[in-house]
Amino acid sequence: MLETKNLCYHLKNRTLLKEISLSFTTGKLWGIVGLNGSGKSTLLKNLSGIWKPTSGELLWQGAPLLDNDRRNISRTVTLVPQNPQIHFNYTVDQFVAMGRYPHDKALHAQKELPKVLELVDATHLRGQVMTQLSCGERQRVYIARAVLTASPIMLFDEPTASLDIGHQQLIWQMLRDLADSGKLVIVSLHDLMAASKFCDEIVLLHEGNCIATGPFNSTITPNRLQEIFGINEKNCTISPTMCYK
Amino acid sequence: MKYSLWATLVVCSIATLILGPTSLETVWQGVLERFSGTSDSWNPLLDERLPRLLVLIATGASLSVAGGVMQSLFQNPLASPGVLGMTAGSSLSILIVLITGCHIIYPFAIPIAAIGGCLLTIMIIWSLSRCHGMYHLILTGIALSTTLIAIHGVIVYALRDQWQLMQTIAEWEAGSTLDRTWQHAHMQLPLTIIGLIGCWRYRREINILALGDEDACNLGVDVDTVRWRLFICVALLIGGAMAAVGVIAFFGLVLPHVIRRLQGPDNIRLIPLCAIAGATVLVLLDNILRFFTIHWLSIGNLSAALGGIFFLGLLVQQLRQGATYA
Amino acid sequence: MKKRLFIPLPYLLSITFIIVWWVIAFNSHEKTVPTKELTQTCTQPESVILSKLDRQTIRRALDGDLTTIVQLLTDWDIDARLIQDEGVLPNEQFCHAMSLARQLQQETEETSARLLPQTFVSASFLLALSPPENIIALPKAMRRHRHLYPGDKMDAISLDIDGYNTEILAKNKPDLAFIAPYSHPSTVQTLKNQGIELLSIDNISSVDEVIESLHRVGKAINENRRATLLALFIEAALNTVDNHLSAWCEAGNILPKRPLYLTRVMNFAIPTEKTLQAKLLHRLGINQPNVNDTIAWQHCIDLETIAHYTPDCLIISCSDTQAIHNLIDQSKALKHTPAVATRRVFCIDEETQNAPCQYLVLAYFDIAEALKMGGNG
Repeated sequence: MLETKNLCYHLKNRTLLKEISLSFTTGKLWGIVGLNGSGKSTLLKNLSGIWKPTSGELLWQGAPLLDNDRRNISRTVTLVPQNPQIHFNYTVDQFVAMGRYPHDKALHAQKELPKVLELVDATHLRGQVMTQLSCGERQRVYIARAVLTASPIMLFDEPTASLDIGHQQLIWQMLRDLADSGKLVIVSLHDLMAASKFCDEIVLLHEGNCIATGPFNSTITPNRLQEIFGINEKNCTISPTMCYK
Repeated sequence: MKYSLWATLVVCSIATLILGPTSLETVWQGVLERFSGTSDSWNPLLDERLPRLLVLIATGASLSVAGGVMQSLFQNPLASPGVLGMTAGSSLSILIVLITGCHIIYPFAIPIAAIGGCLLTIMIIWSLSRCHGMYHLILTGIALSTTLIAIHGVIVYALRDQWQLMQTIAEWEAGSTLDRTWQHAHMQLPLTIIGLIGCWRYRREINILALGDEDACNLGVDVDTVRWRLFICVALLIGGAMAAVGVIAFFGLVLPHVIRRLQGPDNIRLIPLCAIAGATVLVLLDNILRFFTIHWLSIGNLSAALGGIFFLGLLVQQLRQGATYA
Repeated sequence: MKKRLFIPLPYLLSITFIIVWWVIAFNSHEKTVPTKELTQTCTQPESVILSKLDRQTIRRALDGDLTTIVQLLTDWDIDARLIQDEGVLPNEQFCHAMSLARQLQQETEETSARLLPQTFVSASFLLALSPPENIIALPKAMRRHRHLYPGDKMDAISLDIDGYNTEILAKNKPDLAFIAPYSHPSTVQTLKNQGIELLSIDNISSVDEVIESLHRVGKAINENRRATLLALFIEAALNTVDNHLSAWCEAGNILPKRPLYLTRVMNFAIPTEKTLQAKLLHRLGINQPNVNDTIAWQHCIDLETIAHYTPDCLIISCSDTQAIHNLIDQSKALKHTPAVATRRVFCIDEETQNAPCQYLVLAYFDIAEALKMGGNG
């Protein structure tokens, strides 16, 4: 279990996370939803240790996660960022293989590479240069790298944002499979329909506060939809994600 | 490419060792006498050409690898020791040493000043530009470089009446491989060895750092520690090169750029290739200047001119192809 | 967070490695050539019948002192006739010189032109030809070289030429300013704008050009006679140095067979044909290697080439004698050259060597003295 206790994060006189206390159990697919600027990405970066929480605790299986050295932390938790930028022409193979860095040697990187690329339907991208991929293709490669890291906690910051509907389905299914295999999978997303379809538990953030957590129906209530998202349920249009099988 | 570079380096090295006013026969005789213990008189090959060759190899390798590492560390193919002001910082420190004359009593003053200047500059650039993106980094480098060059200019202007000092400074800044002795080689080699070992040790980390701090952190790199150690390695490499030869422009920018375009950005291959390519090119340039007895051009001038022209050509070609940078 | 104990170890190992390398490398050097005073006065005997050539006296004459000029010309003429049955100058010129000297000694009228020399060369000519009161200011930093230029005359001139005192200089209403082709264009323009007459002295790279420039300056300030006398003195002085050298050789002394003249700043260099120094060396019969270049002023020369040349006498124009001592002491390359092995390495004043004015006589004198000291096998 991954726990946060009164987790706070301040940046330049702004409090981006306010005393977040959550318990993420493994074997589940967690969705973090909220408006833009509610703190979803910030929370993920705090959970991964990329940004050190200003105060509070972050515990993994009862022990402080961030008390380890960086390599150990990365063996435990990995994050797929949103809109990553790459400045050099690494090939897809080179890039994905970096996912094994947290492990002392690039163990089995070359053996595992084809499998993880197949998972994200990126086998045909092997040998291509990362800077020449589309946003969606790049996103899939990042996901493949995260899978190769094989950490028990996997965080995804809007993993399907740049993907077409077919690949969105694929990625959601993959995330589902990862969760089912016993990993703790946490995804931040805007798509409430996908959240309702795929996520076991939802965390609703608003202005850095955790408003509610739990199954979708009990967390995203019509009142909250109205108050936080400004959406009247009756006036919701059908989202393309309703096409999910 | 690696094999052709090695072959060129070997050929140029042999040329460096055998070309000179003293006949090969006399030189070789002296070498044999030295090794047999019958004579310890000065021998051109053992006491001048060989240390010069080592200095050239060390300098070329240092500058090229340092440039490649800087480009990866700052996620910017335009980052180079020159653009980021490290050469200017190093040069200013050496200028102060030359003016005070303490290098006459303490020969170590020059490499220590070179390393110190370089390290201080990197620290200032990093502390001012971190987390602000690549354009801010380059602008900070240019601003600091301009400031250091201005200070340099103030000092030189104030002392312009001392023409001997002016000549010393001019020769220093043009880069010179004249009369490089074992003193220069001994000054530079330990710095180069440590610097290159350090860069090689962190070759995988450099690859990951090229993706950005957050992603590197995400992948398990202790970003602050590794970067700091790489800064020190680069400072040792640049400081050693500046102390031994002077200012050699464009090596840290153009060569790694070219190598990266030819074989990709993977530092596991890039670092050794940069080292070999840098060494080869510098030895080759020195051979050209000596073979054609070109007295009015220094090796620094030549490398700057060729590097600049080459880089312009590269940029024009890139613009035509509409490619992103390597 | 756990801290591994060996975190500082890489730094420790690296620093230790570097320090140990440097200590071993630089402590293993030992001095193989004992240090000695390289500059000596020449003790080889010359013909006792010649007058003694004293550098300070010659310098005083070059400063423009008429009495000294006359005395020296007289002595040298006698010396020349003793050696070669001819005077130090052709009879006509000698008589002309003496006549000029007498005229100048009896003259009480002085010119009152207000002069502004922008260059060291023009200033040195003016200090010899004109009273200091006529010179408004000296080029900046000239005062530092009191060992070459006349200190008492320079002290009598209070101003220095500096970009910041243009107005003060202009207030003194100079009649004539002396510039050079390399003078700062804006300075030249300012002088023109102030309505000051300008005379440009070109780069000087031969004895004839020195004489010619001296005449031009003399003509410009209406001191033709002084200029002519000084020019004749220069010629006589050079001839006298040659005569004394010949006499020295005829007394049974031998000049070095392979002398090498070098300059030293960062590296050693040889002056090319383009320079005045090369002309002086040529006059003394010193043939330097690889000097046929009319574009560059000097060619750098490495230690291997010097060693390969096997000079039996090294004459080094430098500013820091001690540094040259150290360099020669520590140089394995030069250790076995005949010059170093027989302790014939002589340092001469760089400033004097690089002064393309009447003090070229002192430069010539210094080289000749070094040759004599380096001689006798």
